[in-house]
Amino acid sequence: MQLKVKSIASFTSIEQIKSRLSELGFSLLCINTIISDGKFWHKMLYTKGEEIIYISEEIGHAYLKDPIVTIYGYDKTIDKITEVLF
Amino acid sequence: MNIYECNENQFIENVRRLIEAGNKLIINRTISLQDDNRYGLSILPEKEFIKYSNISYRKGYKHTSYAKVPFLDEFHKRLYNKDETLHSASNLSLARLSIPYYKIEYSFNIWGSTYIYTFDVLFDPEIVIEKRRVMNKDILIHVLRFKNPNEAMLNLRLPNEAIILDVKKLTRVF
Repeated sequence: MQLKVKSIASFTSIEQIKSRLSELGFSLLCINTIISDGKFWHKMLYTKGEEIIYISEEIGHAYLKDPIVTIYGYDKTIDKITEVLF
Repeated sequence: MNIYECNENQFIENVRRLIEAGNKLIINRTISLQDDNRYGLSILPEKEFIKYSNISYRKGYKHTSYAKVPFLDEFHKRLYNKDETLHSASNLSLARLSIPYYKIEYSFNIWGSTYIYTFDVLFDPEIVIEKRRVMNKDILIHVLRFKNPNEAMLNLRLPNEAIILDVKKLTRVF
């Protein structure tokens, strides 16, 4: 099976996304603060074997926050995570 | 030549779509360490400022930040006294206590246009109390260190069909 890349911006709450990652067996490796698009984000790195998922959560004062989830994983993982994002 | 700025989501999805459409892409990447006083305590959102709350205080976001206690900034080899200004509200674009960061830029060219995604990764603070020799006296003092971000945070995961070339500088010619 080949690893694929998919990036999704979603209005789903960060807790729901983290919960799904936990169910799928992903664990948090590290968190760093990044600045992109003129905004501050907490970027979290989750791993499971060779699969990698980044969640970028905005930490500024914006009203509408849309976490960006970038998945480098198998089709099945992408499908399972996409379910909670839409 | 047009230059299109993208965010993370747009850049990765653009690369994915182009590759799935049968294109081959060369992605240029620049990574540079910066310590240019651009990021300071006063412009940090509350969630980030809290990491510095043992050594600094401020009234709120974009207010002047001061030293709460005397401390040593080990990265810049500088000692700050209690109540000394660390980042002035009247000069937000030039912080006195500068937070170092990596500037990362990814870009590719296709059909005469450049698509670009840039982001900065801040160093994480680590604050400890240690015995140090200051003005010929051994004293316990707060020490601020900056930890390198995890290397995985400096990279974007892109499809294997995208070839990433590391470059020193991107020069735009019009």
